[in-house]
Amino acid sequence: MTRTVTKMGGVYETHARLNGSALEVRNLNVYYRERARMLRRGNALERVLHDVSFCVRDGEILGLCGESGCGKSTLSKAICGIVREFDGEILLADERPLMVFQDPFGSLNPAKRVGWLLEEPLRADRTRTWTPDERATRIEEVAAQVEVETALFDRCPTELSGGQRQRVAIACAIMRKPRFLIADEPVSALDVTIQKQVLELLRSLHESMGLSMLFISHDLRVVYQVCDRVMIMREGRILEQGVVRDVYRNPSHEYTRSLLAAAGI
Amino acid sequence: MATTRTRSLLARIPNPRLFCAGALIMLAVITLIVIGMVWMPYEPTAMSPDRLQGVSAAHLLGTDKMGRDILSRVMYGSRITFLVALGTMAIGAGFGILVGAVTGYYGGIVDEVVMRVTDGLFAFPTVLLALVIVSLFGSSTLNVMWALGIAFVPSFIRVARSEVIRCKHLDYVKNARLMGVRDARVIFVHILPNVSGVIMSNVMIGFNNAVLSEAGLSYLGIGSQPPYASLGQMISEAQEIFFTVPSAVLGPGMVIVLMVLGFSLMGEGLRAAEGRMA
Repeated sequence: MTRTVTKMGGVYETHARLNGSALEVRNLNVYYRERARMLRRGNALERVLHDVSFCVRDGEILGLCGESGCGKSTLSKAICGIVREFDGEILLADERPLMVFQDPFGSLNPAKRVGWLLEEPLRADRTRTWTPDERATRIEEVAAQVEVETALFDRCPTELSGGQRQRVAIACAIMRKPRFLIADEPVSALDVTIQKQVLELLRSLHESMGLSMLFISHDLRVVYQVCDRVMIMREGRILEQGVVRDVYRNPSHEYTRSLLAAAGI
Repeated sequence: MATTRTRSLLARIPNPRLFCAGALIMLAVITLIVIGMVWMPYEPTAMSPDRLQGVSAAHLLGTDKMGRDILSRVMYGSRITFLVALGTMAIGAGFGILVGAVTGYYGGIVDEVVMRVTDGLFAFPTVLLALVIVSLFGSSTLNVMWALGIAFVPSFIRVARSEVIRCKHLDYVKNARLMGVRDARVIFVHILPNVSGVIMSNVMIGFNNAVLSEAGLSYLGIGSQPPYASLGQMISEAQEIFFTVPSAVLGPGMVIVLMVLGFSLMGEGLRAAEGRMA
């Protein structure tokens, strides 16, 4: 159990004992400090997340929806432990989660080869040391799981298609057998047929590994396909959360209704 | 595997033709230097009664006013000039890239201070700065190398810093940090290979400046001491006999031009339109 307490009293804990959840966020407020200029430290604080509380249960995919600028990315940063200025509690059952980013062209180092990229999470693992043999076995295992052919190991990410890249990015994220990961708009940059394949892949990993996920998306249709529960966010607050079907059928909030209408559901 | 790797490395160079042209010229210069290390027609410092001779079979580039064979001196002088430029770059680029990458990555107050010091160093002309250092520590080939090296540090700090800052907010860097990759590894293994194109092209251009600055300094009489010569010094000594033995100026001058041209072409070849290796 690793517990960090910020100056503002925020608690960030990994390997916490949670009863049946992968992630619990309690009364989280995140602040952004005015940018420090020259030698002066900025002082004005702006609150960007307001009293956010939710949990991701073990083996659950929780959708997070909202327009851009509503705090989705801030929330994911906070969960990854990058944000320092917050109060409230972020408790994780496992280690710090990895992320699958929106743009598979930006999230893979263009100067490296696929095989190297896949091995990196294992080399960087601070909880244990992987021997070269173990690494080789593990990356082949995961590559098979995400359907990346070993022939691609010697290629650069620039030589892969968007779908292949996103598969590699997902492979990197699940390399250390996490119980929880964050998918930040993982399919928004892909075209529709590839989207479907990648969503199916995420879904199947979720089923075979019991992987829990925070699935961030602005596309309510995609959320409907993948997620068990959904959370609607606006201006740093959670408006409502619940089982996807219920929320979609009986949205309790006007904003949710307009989002659904806009998505044509 | 090895062949596919070299092939793809060449393919990653934005302008392979320019790069190869430059590399060929450099190969010629380096061949001259290497031959000079093994064999020279005459001892470069040996004087002889055959003074001020023109081009002949015995002396391909003629002799100077002390009867020393100019070709041998050019071979020797190119070696000195080349090594000084190489050493200058090793010091300037090595230190500059290290400091620039680290301060750029961490930012904050240290970065601010380093940048202001860099700006201060920038305000001095390179040659003037080198002159100050050489006059403080004495004139020798090694000191010229250190002096020029230090004078070149700021430009590399600038380049490395701005490139690292450009990259440090990209997703793959964030990703590496989330994975728990240590900072030094993020900087040197994840970021630097991506900016190597820009940095290498700056090294090539810096190399040129080093060759020219060294030649300039030794023209002013600073650097390796007679009777040993670097190219700039030879030109300086030969100006009074330019009309008697033109090859005394043209020989060393030609080698300087070739070195600079070779590295310029290689540098240009590495620099893509958008300023990075694609």
